[in-house]
Amino acid sequence: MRDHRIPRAAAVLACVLAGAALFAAPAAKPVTLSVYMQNDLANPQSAYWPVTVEAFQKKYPEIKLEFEYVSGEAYHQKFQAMAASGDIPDLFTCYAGARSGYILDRGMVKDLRPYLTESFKKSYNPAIWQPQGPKGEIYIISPNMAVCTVVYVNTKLQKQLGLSNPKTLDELVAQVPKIRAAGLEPLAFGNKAQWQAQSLLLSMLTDRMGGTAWFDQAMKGQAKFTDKPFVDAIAVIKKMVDTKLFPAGVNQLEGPQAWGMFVQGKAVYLLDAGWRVSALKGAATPEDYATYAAIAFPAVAGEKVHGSSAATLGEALAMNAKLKGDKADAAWKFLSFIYGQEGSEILMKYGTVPTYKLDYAKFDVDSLNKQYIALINSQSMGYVIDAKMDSEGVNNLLNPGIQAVMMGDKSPAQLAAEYEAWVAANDSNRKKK
Amino acid sequence: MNERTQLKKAPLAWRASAYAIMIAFALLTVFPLLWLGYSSLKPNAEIVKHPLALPQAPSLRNYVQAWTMGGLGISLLNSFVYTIAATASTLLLALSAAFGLAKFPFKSARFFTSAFAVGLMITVHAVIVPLFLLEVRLGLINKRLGVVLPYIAFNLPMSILIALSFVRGIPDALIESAEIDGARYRRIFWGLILPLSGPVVTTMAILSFLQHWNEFLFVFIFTTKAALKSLPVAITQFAGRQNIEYGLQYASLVIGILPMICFYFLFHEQLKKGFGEGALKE
Amino acid sequence: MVNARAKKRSYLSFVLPAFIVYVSIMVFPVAFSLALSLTKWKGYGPIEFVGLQNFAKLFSDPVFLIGLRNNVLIVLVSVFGQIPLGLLLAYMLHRRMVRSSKTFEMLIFLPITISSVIVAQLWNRVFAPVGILPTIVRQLTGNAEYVMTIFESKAFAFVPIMFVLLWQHTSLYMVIFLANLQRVPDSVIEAAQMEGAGEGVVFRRIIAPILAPVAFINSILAISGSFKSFDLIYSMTGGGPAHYTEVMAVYMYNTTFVFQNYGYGSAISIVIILFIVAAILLTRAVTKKLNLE
Repeated sequence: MRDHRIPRAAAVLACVLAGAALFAAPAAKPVTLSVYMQNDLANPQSAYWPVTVEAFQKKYPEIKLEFEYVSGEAYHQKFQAMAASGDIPDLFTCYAGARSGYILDRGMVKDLRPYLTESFKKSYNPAIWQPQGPKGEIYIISPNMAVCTVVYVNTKLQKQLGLSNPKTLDELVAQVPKIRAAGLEPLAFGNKAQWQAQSLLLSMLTDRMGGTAWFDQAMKGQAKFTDKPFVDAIAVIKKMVDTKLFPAGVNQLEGPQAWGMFVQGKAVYLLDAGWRVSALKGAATPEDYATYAAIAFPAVAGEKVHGSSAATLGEALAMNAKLKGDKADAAWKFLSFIYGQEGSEILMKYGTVPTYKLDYAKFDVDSLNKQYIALINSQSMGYVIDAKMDSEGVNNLLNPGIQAVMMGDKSPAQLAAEYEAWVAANDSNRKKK
Repeated sequence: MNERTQLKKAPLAWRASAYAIMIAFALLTVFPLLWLGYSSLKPNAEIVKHPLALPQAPSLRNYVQAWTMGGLGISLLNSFVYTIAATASTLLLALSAAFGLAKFPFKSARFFTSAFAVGLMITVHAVIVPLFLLEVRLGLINKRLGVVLPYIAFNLPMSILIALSFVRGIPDALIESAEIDGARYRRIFWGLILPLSGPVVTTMAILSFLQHWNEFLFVFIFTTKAALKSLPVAITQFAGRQNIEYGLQYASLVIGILPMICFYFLFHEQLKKGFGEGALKE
Repeated sequence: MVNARAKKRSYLSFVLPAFIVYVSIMVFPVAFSLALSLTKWKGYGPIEFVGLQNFAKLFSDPVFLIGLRNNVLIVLVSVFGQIPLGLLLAYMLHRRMVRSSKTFEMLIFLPITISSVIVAQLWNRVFAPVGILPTIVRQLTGNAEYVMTIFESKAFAFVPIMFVLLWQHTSLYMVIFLANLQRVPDSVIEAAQMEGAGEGVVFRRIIAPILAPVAFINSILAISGSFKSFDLIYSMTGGGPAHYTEVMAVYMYNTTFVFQNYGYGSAISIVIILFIVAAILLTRAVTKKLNLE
């Protein structure tokens, strides 16, 4: 009989040692995260994203990322189906506010406050740390402020026509005959998708007429949408249509067709949002791009707040509330990278101003972005209506209603009354407290 | 045999109007597609600046970019897989059901037939959310089966009705003589019914192919992995709400249309024949 | 000889597979939708039973009513536009009134093979203010600000969409009629011509009655499709501007997925199904009456 005990012991020891070697792993253990992101890779504004991801993978090769990209409204529709099944990815695009209510109200998003130390928060624009949830939760680190009203100027055309930046809306209206006589459009704007007139125009106008204080009260029901500020704001839009500021068929124009007009040199001014800058940069020739300027929407008669725009926190990736342990750590590494210094620098390079405080002098900021940064730092910001109010009232009533007013089918007072009636009966803001 | 030479030609007024209408339709069809075609050869900036003009320097750059960025190669393959799997399965199930309902004298046949007919009125959106929840429970999300099963289900009513009217037309005598020869029903189905169903199989196959190739909603909702996307879904990903890369979109649209156009040019004769066979037998 | 029980087993083995797939995928979810239509639910949180309230609200909901009107318009343009036009085209092709009829036939059939989403994109490029049509009209009339204002008219905004639907679907019916026409022996037409019947008479009195049953089936297909109509309209206008081109299916989709009003949305889908049933029954009754004459 051979004695098998020693070889066996050796084998066991070998296994134990091998196991120990395996499990006493280096600090990095492979983790896979699923990411469901609202993104359109073909959009020039998304050009920064693959670069950011690559930089992250270089730093953390052990964290594997699986992406699914969906753009536009389809993102929300599919996400709702996912949420209904209770099975959502590890990371996903989330808006601060009503837009992502369907996922926030379900309690499926992780509160990031445990990760947000004071020193971390100090590196950012303090505006992004306002409470995002009913108990003060912070769900996302917003990488940029979505400023919703900017008037872009084609200074070359402007000079050709002997015009200068209008300080009031009436001045802008006075420029219309001259611009149209030259065969150009005064203010390019596209409202086919219906939300533009509300987000890019009415929100800012409501802020000018009533301010955030009034809007806070209207949300609670202490003020009503039939009050003067809201009705007057809608009336301004009607006036803009009547004075032919907009292209004919403004409600049939898609956004890209509108800024396309501007890029083609067919319009003197463009009414659009802050995020359009990188699109303009990608579509215009460098010579043309150098002639673009950005100004605030001109003053409106009867306004209480001056020179403001409307802004909301830009959306960002949020964490699944169920993440724990290694996965949560990996997810936090990802978020703090893409929204931290490295990610923000990449954003800046691609033409978007991040909320992370960077030394702008280090970057070769182009002319339009320089003006844009100066502009948004000098303005106060009002609320964007669809970030605050319930989706059905905004999408089914307000947005189409604004179109109806613009087409002469409804009066501002009528729309205000209909919207107030719906909000009073249905909106969740009124039901709070 | 038709002796066409005996027929008088139609009067001039008719022929003139015929030409007018036909040419109008033909132009309406061709012009937009031609425009799509040559626009896809232009870079995006040129499309925005000069939407109607012919390309200054036609290039296939958009196609290459769209193909690689959108993973169109994989999605083209997926479209084929989904369509062929759904079509083959539907054909088999529909013919089998039609055989059962048409040639077996059971009263429940009327119930089943009416039940299937009800399906014609159900819209996909009415069932999409409950169906999604069901598929999650069954673990069918991100599996090809999870897309193919709804395809089959939604196609069954129409296919069964078409197959039914056809199978009814098969003489009972043929089946009876096979029975007398001792053949079991399975043999009869595979050996007699299926071979005879050539024309209607073609019609159903083509209709099914047409419907499923262009389908969007099910693939979109029931799959999340890029490796499982079909062509329409992959193409739609180029169309964002706030920004559109026209060049890439047009190129991908052309890639999406070409297979169906080829398919149609190859099979339109059978399609015509099939419509005739199936529909007249009502 | 096969005994009765074995025969029944065979019968079921042929029918049940299809039936099971059908019921589990289509019937159960619809039943679930039916149940949902009696509730008020956000997709999460408590489900509130509200009985028939959703249905009552529907018929005083201005958006739904516009949608219903537009759906009826689609039915009308299908049954009284696409089908007769398809028949006429088929007749013209069959009687060889144009040369190279094969080519025309292939060209006219092309639109139905293209997905509705793409068709919508195409026609948007034609109709949009920056599109081909206004550009051509501007050059022809010298009116630099021409746009298709028909889209902004509450009454007529749906007309361009009906046009595109006609363009897309007429050929489908044309092909069906053509296939059936080819099975009609020439001798029928020959006999009529020998008796001095003009072309119009042959068409109206001889051919149309023969193809009436086919027209009936086509009508059923058309009606069912009309009430379900979604892809084209959603991609072309999304129901806008200001709901002018809304249809029931688009409203249902928005209500469920954008406004997250699952109960109300389910009610709309049930109503769509009911309308289809009603329309088909009506068509059946009308044709039966006509056939008996």
